[in-house]
Amino acid sequence: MTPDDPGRRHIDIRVPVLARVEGEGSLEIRARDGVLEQLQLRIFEPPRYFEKFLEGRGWEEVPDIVARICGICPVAYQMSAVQALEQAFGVVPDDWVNRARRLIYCGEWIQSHALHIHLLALPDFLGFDNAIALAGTHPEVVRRGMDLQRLGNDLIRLFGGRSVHPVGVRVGGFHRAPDPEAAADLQRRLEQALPRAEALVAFLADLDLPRDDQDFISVALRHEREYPMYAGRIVSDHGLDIPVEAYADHFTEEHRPHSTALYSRLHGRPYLVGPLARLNLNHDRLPPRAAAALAASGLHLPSRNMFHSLPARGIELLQALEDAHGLLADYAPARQPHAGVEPRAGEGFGATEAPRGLLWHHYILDDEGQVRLARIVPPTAQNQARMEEDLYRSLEAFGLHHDDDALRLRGEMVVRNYDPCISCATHFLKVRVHRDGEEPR
Amino acid sequence: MEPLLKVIGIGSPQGEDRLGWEAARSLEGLDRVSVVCLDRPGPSLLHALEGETAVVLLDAMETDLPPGCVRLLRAADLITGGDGLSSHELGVAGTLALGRALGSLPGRLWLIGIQGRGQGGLSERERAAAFTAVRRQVQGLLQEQATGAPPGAKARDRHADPANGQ
Repeated sequence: MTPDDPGRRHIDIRVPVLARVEGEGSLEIRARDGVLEQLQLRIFEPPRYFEKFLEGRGWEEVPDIVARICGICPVAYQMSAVQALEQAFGVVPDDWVNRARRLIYCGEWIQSHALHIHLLALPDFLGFDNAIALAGTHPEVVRRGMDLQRLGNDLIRLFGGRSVHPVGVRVGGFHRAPDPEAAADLQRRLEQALPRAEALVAFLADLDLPRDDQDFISVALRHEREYPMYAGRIVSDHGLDIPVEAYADHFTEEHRPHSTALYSRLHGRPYLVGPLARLNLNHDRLPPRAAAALAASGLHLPSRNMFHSLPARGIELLQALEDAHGLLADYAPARQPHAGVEPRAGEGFGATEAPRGLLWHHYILDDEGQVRLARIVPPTAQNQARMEEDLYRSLEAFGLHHDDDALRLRGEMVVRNYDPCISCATHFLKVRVHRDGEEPR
Repeated sequence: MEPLLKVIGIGSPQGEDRLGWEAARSLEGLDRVSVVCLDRPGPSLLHALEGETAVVLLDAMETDLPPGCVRLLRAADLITGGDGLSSHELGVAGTLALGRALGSLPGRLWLIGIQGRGQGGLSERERAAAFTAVRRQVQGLLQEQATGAPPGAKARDRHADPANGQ
């Protein structure tokens, strides 16, 4: 390598921090003499504020407040919260409630994964600037994504009353049970969508994804029978197997000067949550059609290639469709769609699998059921250290001789693998570059 | 009788972003008009447009016009090529561009924008004047629909509503 070698040039890619509640990202890349010296991913995460907002609020308000944390995965926040509050109050919902909760959660996975795959990720892998350009050439691909997203939204609406920030969820269960006719209609639509989801998995399996194996720790819930979503123990592929209550004994969060989001570590190491981690740890829990689609895809698990998050998301979408279809098959409305709740002083923990990974809640309540302490650990914070680690390895493997635009695109693709909210922010990256002796431009 | 026009109020509960919702609700009860309100729908806006023939979107807007000013635009005026747009949280213009690429937009589609004031919000008088102007615009479009006038005959160019002194 010579001094004129583009791989040895000095690189400074700086992105100003942007402030928006959906999870803003900024990226700084600095390289000298062909070596990455500094790489920082900055994220603003709104749950930090919500924890404080929750203090002093009554238990009935919590599901509606936490739903506002995220417009993409409000159900996840509601599900982790109601689990924790029910544990604190000693409430045990019946099977109808548990099935209904899994159904509304399936809706969220379907809509979130459909949106991410078709509108966010695919333009990268098919060589388009954005989904609009992709739709111009492959309208059938984008239309499939929109149709699946709509189906997921309608499933959320069936139980939640509306698809964004649903209002049907309460501690103990639901405010009302959907009509059987509406449930039957949705079940028919789910059945019609199953072949399209299977085709989606095959389509994703045919993509020529970058090959970049890395060593990382996968963390996810694991359930006795189900693919993890609404319940389970927290496990890793490095031997961790703990109840949800023990999370804080093993996972730590730390502040870093360059980011308002906390960095999570498992026994001091970065780790991965989300579709690929879940599939790595739970592919033996897939229902039959999703398992068959996985087998036909040729994807070998566990995978160490983060770009396999894309097909993993497709398989999870099919899994959620199949699961919801089965759960709705014998649906009947409950006379009482929620358990009775008597607030009392106590402490509770909840953990579920948001579309982008493990979401952990902890509450302490007083004897009137008012929140005294709330702690929420979202998947984005858990993935942040892993994302930076991934960016280091991916950009070095990609090659620093590439120009700034190519480096930025690869960095964005890496980040997009993890989280739709952060992916959203990275689309707005405004890169300023300066090389030695030059002013930033 | 079937509605001739669907009005979709777009917004959120926050501040002036409610203007689209409030303007839409002020039209409830108008003959042959159906009204729905959507909370930051993003690409899901396309689902609300599906199967419709004539739609008016109502949304708060930020321009250099005076607070309370109302503008009627054809959807085509809004649609860009999508350069630089996030493919995730699409705004109205990006979503309409996506809808056009998919061939799923209604044949007749307009947007009425209402200029907010930002801090402090519109005064009651400004708000009432703006909603009156919106109603007048919608009634005009309704008339076009009833008489079968060409789509957007009165909205061929961007213009401010004369009721607001523009």
